[in-house]
Amino acid sequence: MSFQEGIALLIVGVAAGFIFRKFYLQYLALPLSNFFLRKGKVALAMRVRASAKKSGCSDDCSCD
Amino acid sequence: MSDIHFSPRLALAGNPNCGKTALFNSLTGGRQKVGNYPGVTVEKKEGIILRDDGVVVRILDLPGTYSLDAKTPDEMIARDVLMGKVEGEDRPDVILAVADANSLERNLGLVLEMKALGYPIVLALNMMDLAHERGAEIDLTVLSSELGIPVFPTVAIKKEGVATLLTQAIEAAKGNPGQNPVSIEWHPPTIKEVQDRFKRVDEILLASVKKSARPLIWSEKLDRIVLHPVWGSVILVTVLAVVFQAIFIWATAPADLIKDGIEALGNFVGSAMGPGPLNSLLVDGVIKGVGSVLVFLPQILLLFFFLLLLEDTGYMARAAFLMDRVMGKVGLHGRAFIPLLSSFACAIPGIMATRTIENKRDRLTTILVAPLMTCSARLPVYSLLIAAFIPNSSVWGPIRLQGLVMLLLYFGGAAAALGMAWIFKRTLLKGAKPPLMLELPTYKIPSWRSILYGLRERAWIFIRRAGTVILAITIILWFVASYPKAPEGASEPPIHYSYAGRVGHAIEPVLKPLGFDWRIGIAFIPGFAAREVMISALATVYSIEGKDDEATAGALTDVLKSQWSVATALSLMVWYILACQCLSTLAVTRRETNSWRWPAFMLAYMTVLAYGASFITYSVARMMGLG
Amino acid sequence: MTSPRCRLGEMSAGMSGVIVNTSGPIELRRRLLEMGLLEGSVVTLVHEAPFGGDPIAVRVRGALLALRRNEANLIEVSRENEGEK
Repeated sequence: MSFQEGIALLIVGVAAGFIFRKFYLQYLALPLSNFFLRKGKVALAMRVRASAKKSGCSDDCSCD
Repeated sequence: MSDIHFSPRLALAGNPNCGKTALFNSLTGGRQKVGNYPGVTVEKKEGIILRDDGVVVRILDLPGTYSLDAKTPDEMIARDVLMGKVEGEDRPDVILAVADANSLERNLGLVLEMKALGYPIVLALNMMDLAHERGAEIDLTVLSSELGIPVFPTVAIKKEGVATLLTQAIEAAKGNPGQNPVSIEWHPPTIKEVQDRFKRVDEILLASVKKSARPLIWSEKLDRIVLHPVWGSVILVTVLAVVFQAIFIWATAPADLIKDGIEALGNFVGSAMGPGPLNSLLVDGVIKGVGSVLVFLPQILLLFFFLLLLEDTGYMARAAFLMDRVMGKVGLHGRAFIPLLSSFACAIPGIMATRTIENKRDRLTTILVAPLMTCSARLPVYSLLIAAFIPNSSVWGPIRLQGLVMLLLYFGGAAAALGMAWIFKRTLLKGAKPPLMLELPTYKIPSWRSILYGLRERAWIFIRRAGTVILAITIILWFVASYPKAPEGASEPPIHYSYAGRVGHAIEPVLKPLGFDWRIGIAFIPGFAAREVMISALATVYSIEGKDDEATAGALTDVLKSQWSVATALSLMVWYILACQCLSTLAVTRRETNSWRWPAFMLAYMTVLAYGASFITYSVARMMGLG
Repeated sequence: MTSPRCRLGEMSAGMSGVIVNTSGPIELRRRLLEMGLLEGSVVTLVHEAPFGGDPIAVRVRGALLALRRNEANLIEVSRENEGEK
């Protein structure tokens, strides 16, 4: 693998991570938290929910 | 008490159209945070003022409401904040009530209602300049003593009286630092109570107003034309036509400038480093991909400029009045016109704006058809296709074919929305026609400052989006379009062998009847995250493919012109009008309707509609020899 | 002298009168009142929408208000003082 290719793939990795995180915070975190809550794992649910709130993002166009 | 730690919370409250937002902008200088109240999608605007004396003031701009007897979610939030019932929202220390000095007969009702809650209140008598011009003589001392609260004249858009007002509001808060009771119960008033409240308003006005404002003659005269049964409709159509022509014509010069800049940057980066994967990523992926979206910044700003202008001048409510009959024909509320019109900007605020519709079935119908309205994310796609396939010939005088087609596409979306609403109201969501009650505010010279703030916000959102989500998706797309690499001695361009190429080829049979090839198929997938990514995806795909191929290496419009038939372009336009290619729309629908059923239904009906219509378009176009 | 009474929804552009009574479901009635359509207020029908003259725009308590004839019919108007202006 060339030096250029290494850097390029690194950038791709960062971008993929960014998109996954965004998708998780926006669409997965809250349902996941509710799922834990139903399972009775309150502490875990609160942690997941806190991370979802941190994104500070609603679905409105102003934030993605 | 040390002033350093003193940070009063002010709540700005008043009727709609009293200049509350202008006052908010004046107070905060545009330094504001826009978010949502927890759990609901009502917009929350908060501003912070750092004063020279060290006092930090937090101002909350509550949604406008005629009374505390809330009917819509917006009005409920305004009431609940004052009641201290919104989670995570402390009760304000002072209410900064805003009233239009030209319309006290109506505005003071809410002031009296809020005063009864027991808050310290400071009243801003806004638009005083206009009231003076209209010959109003108001004795502020008498008004203040009759109301029992301090009253200050302001002209928000000229920042007059705003500093005094703020100082007085802070003084009022000092006398009452967080001493308000935690929660107040509220009961709907009886008819008698409402009547008495307004009787009291009349008494106060009788004592304090020596001369009431003359009717605003020019506003009334203007209405005689603008609301005229015949001329009104003509004007409405003309206004919309001018807007879409302007979006197309005025944006050309700045868009070309951005395009040239991006091309120069691409050439510079491309030649500055040796050829290889990083070079390809930066030039084909990042610069071409993100650049192809950034080019549309001028058009989007123009669209928002006109929307803000129509709202600010007071024309929007008139349009709703003129359109009520048409909306009523398909079973919708005249109020549904405003959510549908804001869906031209983006379906998401449009869907959120349906919260002003009281009736549930009406609201659902409006939500379901809102994504059919052409949102600003579709504008880049339309522009690209029109620029590539529609000749810019003159149709009649200054009216050009390109602008006309653009208008037609917008009309197509609107017609589809109305048609579907008609069907829904007759099948799934039958119900009686709900009442319409809408204030038509006097015309206003728009506040350029507010429009500027609005545009700045929009530009920033667009650029941030391009720099984050669109950038990241483009990079990933570059990867899946470049890997795995072509085998030794391959005969086809490398993209054929990539992941993206394979997926594209796999779904091609489904898209073939619509005239779309595998490349468009590839572009559809990331287009789901954000519609305008479709363009950057196409740019990236053709750019990677075109490395060894002269025909596909030029500007995207030229590439498409040489690669697609007119039938394909037309079919894609129709597809873009009707298809529900937006994850965020589905998510917001899920939240607003509180069930997965409706977003699933939305996706299904729109996809079927789009597929059918595109198929017909493609077939007919081919029969006409455009294939 | 008996005053000519009619419903707001039956009037046409240019006609005016004094509101004497409102009726209808309490929620809707409260809404009408909050918007300024109170007993004793002078109301003038100023505009009729295209395609059949519904909705209408009325001037009341210094504001211009759009509503449908259906709801306007809940409001009874006395046209006694028509001539005086």
